[in-house]
Amino acid sequence: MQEIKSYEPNTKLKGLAAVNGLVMGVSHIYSRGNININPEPLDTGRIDEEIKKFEQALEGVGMEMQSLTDFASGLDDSDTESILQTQYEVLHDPEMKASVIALIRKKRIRAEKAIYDAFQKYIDLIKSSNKSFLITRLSDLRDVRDRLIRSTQQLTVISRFGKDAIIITDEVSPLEVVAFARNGVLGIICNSGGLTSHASIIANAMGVPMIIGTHTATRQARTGDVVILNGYEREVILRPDKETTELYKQEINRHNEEEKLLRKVINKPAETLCGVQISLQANIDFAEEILNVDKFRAEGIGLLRTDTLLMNSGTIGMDRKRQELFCQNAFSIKDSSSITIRLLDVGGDKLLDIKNQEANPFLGWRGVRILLDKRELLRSQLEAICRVAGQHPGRTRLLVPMVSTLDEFIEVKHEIEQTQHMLKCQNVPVDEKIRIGVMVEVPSVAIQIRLFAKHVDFLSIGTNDLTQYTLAVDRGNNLISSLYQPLHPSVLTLIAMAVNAGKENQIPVAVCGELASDPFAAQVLIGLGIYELSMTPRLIPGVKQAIRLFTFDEMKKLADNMLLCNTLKEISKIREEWEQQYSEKRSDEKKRQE
Amino acid sequence: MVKKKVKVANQAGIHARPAAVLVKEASRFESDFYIHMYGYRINGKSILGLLTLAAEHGAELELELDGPDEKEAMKALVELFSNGFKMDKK
Repeated sequence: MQEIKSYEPNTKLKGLAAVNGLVMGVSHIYSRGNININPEPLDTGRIDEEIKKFEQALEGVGMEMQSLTDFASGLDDSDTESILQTQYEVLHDPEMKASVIALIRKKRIRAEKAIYDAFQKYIDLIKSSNKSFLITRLSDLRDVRDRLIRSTQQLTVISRFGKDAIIITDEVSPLEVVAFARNGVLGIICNSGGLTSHASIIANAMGVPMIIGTHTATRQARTGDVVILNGYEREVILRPDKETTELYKQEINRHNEEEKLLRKVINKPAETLCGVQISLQANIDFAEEILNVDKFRAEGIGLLRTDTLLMNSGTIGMDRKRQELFCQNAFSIKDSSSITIRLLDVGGDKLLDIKNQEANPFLGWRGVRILLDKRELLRSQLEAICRVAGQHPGRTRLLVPMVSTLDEFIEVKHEIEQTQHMLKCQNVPVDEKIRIGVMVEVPSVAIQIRLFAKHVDFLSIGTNDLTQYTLAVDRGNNLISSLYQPLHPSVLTLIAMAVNAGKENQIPVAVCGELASDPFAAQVLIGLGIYELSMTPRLIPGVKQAIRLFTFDEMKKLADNMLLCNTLKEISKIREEWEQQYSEKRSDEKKRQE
Repeated sequence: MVKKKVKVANQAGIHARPAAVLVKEASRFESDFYIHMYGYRINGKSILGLLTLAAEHGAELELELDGPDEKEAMKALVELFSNGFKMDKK
C-alpha cells in the first residue's frame, strides 16, 4: 500500500453515504489497538463511570458470546459447546460482578484492573487446589477475562471523543456505533464497509451521519484535522481551506433550514397529491427507538425486530419476561394501529460482532431454520408474544423470517396455535385474531407467492435480502456493492407478483426493507400497489414530503417504466429524471409556503 | 430455609462442565443457594466460587436453599447431584 506523506489542504475522498448528513468537525482517528492494563488510581468522580463501563462491557461480551453459542449449538460439537457454556456462566457470575464493582469502588482502580484482579483471586485459588482437571481449564476463564478487559478499553477510548468529533476508522462494529452515538459524536468515516451492514443500519437508526468505503481515510487524515462529512455528495473533505470552510458553513445552515421544512411535514397526513392514503410505519430494533414512533408520527410499527433484545438478555433466549416487557413497551405508542413483531432472525451479519464461521452464512442456519431446530427458543418467544398480544386484542401481527418453503411456515403456525391453546388452558387471555404473515425475502417464496398467499394473513417484503438472494450479491461486500440494486427489474417483478397475490387473496402486502425509506423507491413501490411502507422512523418525513407532491397515477406510470427497464443504465436515467422533477416540485412548494 | 447433604457422584468431580450445568439449573430458581464444604460457604450460583471448591468424586457437600421456591429447587439440584450432572450418561 502506498504511504501518503503530505497532508494537503482540501483533500477530497469519495465513499458511500451509509447515513446521510452534512457536518463539520474535528477528526479523531480511532483504532482498536492493544492497550496495557493501566494501574493508575481513579479520581473519585470517575468511579461510577468506570462501573458503568464494566456493565456495558459485560453486555457487549455477552452479545459476542451469544453469537458464538448460537453457532456452536449448530455444530453439534459437545466440547466447544461445553467450553462456551462454562464461559457463559463465568461472564454471568454474580460474585465476579460484585467483586469487580467492589474493587473499583474500594480501591479506586480502573475497570480493566479490577477485572484482572478479581479473576486472579479465583485463578490463584483454583491453582492452589492442585487439581489438574481444573487447572487445564483455566485458559477458558482467562479468555473471558481478556474479552472483558478489551471491551472496557475500547469503551475508554471511545469515551474520550467530544461532541465536535468526527470519527475516522478502518471499520466499525455495531457495538462501537452505539458507543459513539451515545457519546454524541458528529459523524463516522470508515475505510471499509457495506451500505446495508448492521453497523450502517444502527448508525441510521441512531441518526449519526456516516460515510463508508473511503479506503484511505485513516491514512490521509490526522487527529485534530478539520473535516467535512458530506453525505449528499458522498464525500469527505480533509483540512478545508478558509474559502471552503466558509462555503460549507453556509451550506450547513441551508441544510438546517431544509430540516426545518421536513419537520413541518411531520404532522401532515401521509397521502398522495390526489388523496390516496399510504400507511408509513416504523422499523424498530431497540427499546430506545420506540419513542421515535410518536415523534415522527409513524402509523404503528411495521417491523419490530426482536433480535437485539434476545442478545442483550444474555440468557440464550430463554428470558421470556424480558421479551414480554420489550413487546409490551412497543404497545405504549400513541398510535393504536397494528404492531408487526418479527420472530428472532439471528444469523447472517445481524449484530454478531464475530464473523460467523459458516461457509455461506447468508445461505445458512438463520431465521426460521434456527427456530425450528431450537423449539424451546421458538416456544418461549411465541409465549411471550401471545401473552402480550392477548392484552391488546386485534393489534398484533406476527412475522416469520427467512422462510424458504411452505412446510416451515405451516410448522410455525402450528406452534402458534399450540401456544395459544396452552395459554387458554391457563386462563391467560389471548388474541384470537392474531395475524400471521411471512417475510418475502427468499426468491422461492416470491415465485410460489400464490401458494403462500392462501396460507398467510399478510405478506411483508424484506427488500434487502430479496435483492441479495435474487441478484446473488452479498450486500456487505463493497467490491460488488454497485450490483446491489433493489430496484432491478428482476426484484421489482417479484414484488409485483406479491402485490397481485395479495390482491387475489385480499391480504395486505407491506415493504419493510430499507428501500421503503428512499423517496424515489417509495414512489415506485406505491406505483406497484404497495400501500404499507415501514422504515426507520427518522426517515418518514422525507418519504412523506415526496409522496405528497405526486399523484398516484404519476407513481403508477413510474413503476410501469421501471418494470420495462432492460439495463441498470436505464434505471439510473429514470431516477435522474425523477430527482429533477422532485426538486422542481419542492421549490414550487417552498415558494407557495412563503 | 432447607439444607441437605449430598455427594459428588460423577467420576470426574465438579469440573467446568458440571459446574456450568449446576449454576444454570440453580439460576432458574429465585431462592438463594449456598454450598458448604470443608467449612467454606460459597454462592452456588457463582461458577467461579464453585470451581474454587475443587470438589472431587465422593466429596461431601451441604446444599442450603433459602427463598420462595426452595423446595422445588432442592429437589432439582439433588437430582442433578445424584445423576452425576447428566455427565456420565453420554
